[in-house]
Amino acid sequence: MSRVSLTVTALLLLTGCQAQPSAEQPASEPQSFAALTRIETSRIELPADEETFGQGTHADLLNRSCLACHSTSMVRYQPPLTRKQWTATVTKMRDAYGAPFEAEETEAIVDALMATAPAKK
Amino acid sequence: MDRLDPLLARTLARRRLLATGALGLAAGGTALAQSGKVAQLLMAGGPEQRPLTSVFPGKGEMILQRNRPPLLETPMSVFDQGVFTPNDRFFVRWHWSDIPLDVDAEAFRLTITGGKQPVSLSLPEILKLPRISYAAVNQCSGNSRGLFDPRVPGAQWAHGAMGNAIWEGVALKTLLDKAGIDPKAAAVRFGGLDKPLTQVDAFEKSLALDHAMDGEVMVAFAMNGEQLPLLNGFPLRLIVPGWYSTYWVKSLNHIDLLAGKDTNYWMAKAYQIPDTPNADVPPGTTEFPKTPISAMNVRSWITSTEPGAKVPIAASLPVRGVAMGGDTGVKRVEVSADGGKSWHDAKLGPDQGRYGFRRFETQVAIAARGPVRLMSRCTSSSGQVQPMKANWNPGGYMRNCVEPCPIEIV
Repeated sequence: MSRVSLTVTALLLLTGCQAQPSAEQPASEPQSFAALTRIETSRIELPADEETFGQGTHADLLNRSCLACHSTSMVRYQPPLTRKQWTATVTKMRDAYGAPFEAEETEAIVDALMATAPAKK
Repeated sequence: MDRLDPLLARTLARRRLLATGALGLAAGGTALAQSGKVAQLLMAGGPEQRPLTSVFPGKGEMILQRNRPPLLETPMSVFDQGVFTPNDRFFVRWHWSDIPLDVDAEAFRLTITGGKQPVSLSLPEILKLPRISYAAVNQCSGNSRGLFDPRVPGAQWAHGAMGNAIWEGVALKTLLDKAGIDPKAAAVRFGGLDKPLTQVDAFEKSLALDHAMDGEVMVAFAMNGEQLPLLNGFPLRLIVPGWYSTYWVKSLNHIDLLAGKDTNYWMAKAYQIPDTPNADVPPGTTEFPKTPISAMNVRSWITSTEPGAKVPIAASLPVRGVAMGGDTGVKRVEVSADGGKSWHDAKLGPDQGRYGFRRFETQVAIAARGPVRLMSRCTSSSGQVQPMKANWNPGGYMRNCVEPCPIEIV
């Protein structure tokens, strides 16, 4: 099972670590890795996320209300939710997370979600 | 009005729609599901299928729970391959859309305010400080949320929103001592490079001062011997061993000593659990005394066999898995091959420290062809035992029941 053989003691010696293991320390005999000596600049590009809810009244409303902050999959993978659960979620998205729609649009968005996501009718 | 910046968010939404063309892609046809491979998750009422994707930089094959901001789940088979979760298979979870994708190691500074003097440290300066290192499980508060019954909204994780790594870094106490602690300080707040697109509270979490100064809480720069992947919080991540991942602030660049309790949204409103044993309330309950989620509970998973597997008959079947004590070690893991009627002790793998995974293995006797209900049950070193019955709360937090693994002997 051992993938690397350094003991924690060896790690401490290598790094000149001043922390001494004590009974309070979490690691008893961890497998360990060579101490990090340098941190390099890191840069990545995420895959494109071009999916929308499509076209139509419901889709248009969801596209502009939801997709600024997250992809469609957040909606599509929800379990069957009741109207009450969707209403609570939509309200939280607006009040707590600043989703870009007006309070009066909440019911229309819930209608659109009930029709689009795997809703519990 | 600081609730939102509707103009910015609308502009971003419109720009995205223009970029994808008027038609966009029909829902369900994600461009990310290139492999065509699908993970089948056992979630009552569905949806149960997720794409398996290898297109995220620095990541191998992961279960795609959400494209943006990424939610990537580790397939259970990864946990069967070793006690530590490789960095390229470690789960990914971000709250806000604007996540760091380009971090200059020379320009980066970690700042500490609210102490006796302000502190600003470069990465080379942090690398020169005394180090600590230990194994610890990083688990999402909502790991296994998709298995809640009745189901609850939120990220629909199966069991793979977790991983075990060796973290290396500097004790938070070492850094706070550099700032100097004012006698009035009560809590310590942590913020990172991720930002909301709207005018709401940034994702910040805090710990009580005593906890922050316990010598174990760590500002990590390495994970399994390598610098942190960007998707897991490069260049620095707070490690709060034994506590849920929500506290393990990624791309940590600011620490603030607070004189009072943290009232920001992410401490006062989000990640609240029922203030009951194991965060358990009767299904459907919405009103209850709440408290911020904190320490993890005892869990175990069989990793050698997938639920639903058809296994050729033999005299005995090897059963392996991983277990964790929560915020303490693993004392014992028992395995049952009859749905929990009888149990026998599994052999525990090497102890990697109280906060890490512990592997277990055993053989179960097979009498005949037909369905077999495998289970594992962990007892922590503080005596906590996994319950047979699942807990329930509307946030989908802290699931830790015995997880059945039904298979068929053929």
